[in-house]
Amino acid sequence: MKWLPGDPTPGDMVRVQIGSIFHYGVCTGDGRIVAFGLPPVPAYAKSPDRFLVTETDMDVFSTGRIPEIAVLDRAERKKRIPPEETVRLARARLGEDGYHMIRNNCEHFAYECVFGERKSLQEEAVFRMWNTRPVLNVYLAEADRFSLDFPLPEERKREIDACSDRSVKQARIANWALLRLAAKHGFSQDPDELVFTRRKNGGWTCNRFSISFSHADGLCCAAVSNAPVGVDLETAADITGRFGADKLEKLRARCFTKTEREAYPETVEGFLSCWTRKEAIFKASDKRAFSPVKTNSLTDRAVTFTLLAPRTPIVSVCSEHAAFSRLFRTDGTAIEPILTNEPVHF
Amino acid sequence: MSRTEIIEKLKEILLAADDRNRDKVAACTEESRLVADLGFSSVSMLYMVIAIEEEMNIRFDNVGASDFQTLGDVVSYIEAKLK
Repeated sequence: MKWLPGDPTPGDMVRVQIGSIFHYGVCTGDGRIVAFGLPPVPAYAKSPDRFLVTETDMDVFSTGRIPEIAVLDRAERKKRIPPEETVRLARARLGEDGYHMIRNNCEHFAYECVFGERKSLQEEAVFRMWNTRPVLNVYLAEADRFSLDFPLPEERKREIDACSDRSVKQARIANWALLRLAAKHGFSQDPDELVFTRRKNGGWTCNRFSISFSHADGLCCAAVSNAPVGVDLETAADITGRFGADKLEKLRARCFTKTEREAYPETVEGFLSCWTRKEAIFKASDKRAFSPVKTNSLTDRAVTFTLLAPRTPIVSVCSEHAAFSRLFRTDGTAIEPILTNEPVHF
Repeated sequence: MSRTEIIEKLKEILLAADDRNRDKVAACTEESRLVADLGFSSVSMLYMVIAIEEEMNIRFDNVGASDFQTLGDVVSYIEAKLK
């Protein structure tokens, strides 16, 4: 379909550009146009017919702008409703309401009168933008809230069945349950329609978005993003007491660069902030082997959330959408944002 | 040091780090998987590496050590380093 300026004949789809949007209608003959709503200009802002299917003169429809006519290609000409029927259909709907700028607008109306099916390129553009908006959601939960009452990829099911450590087994089940919640909450996707595959670094991904899991100390988390993502979770409570100051210093010397040793405090929280960032960065990459000292944690692509005692969970997530990261907690049913903790940037 | 001696030393190290899983560590074998059977996290792995370095006077090439799947993998690595 091409749009060209000209004089419309009965049954033609016509449009005028008003700012960044188009107003569509159907020519019914003698310079008359049926459209869903009046043109979105200040002159008609208070008109009672503003959001009704209305027949007007071309002057009202075009508001002084140059109207364009839809020039159909051969396939479209074969597909279209006969012009006289288009005119009849358009007039039969005069007075109809239920206008919605995105879901039921003047373009839907005109397209339906000409082709018998609803379509709006403007609606499709809005949803394209919505579906490509940066998403990076991290969901955190207690692992014991979940049970395996949903399907798993066969390979993952075998791995979980073969897991003899009960806490690891429970956390892995919980991670996939969290992923199902995340698919619905973050991407409005039915989790049963997702196809999972293994990544080079041993992690998983799916056909609609990127995923990453982590668990520690009875907690589990899942991250979803429309860019490659990695997440890592540790708790300070799990580490405190296990590492004396001497071992912590050795680990800092072995795992951190000089710049990182200067940037992070010499505390368990400081160590875990850097460590979880390194792990998250590795998980987001396609590298097969993890080399902590060669992984630079001081990047804007990683964000760290340090939560409150008693366990002091520390969650780092890495993605090119790091600036859009949002952290949620869930009990397996309700999902609520964690607002009280701001991301900690180093 | 034989493989049996190495694995006994490893058990001591693991118990010193965390004695909550005493029975599991006592029963572990070379086939035991670090994550799926012994519940290791990445930080547990770090602790083990540092402790082994101190106790056995060796140095791991990569402290991240993500190549180890089983306790037997760790034993083989230590064995090669001690030669």
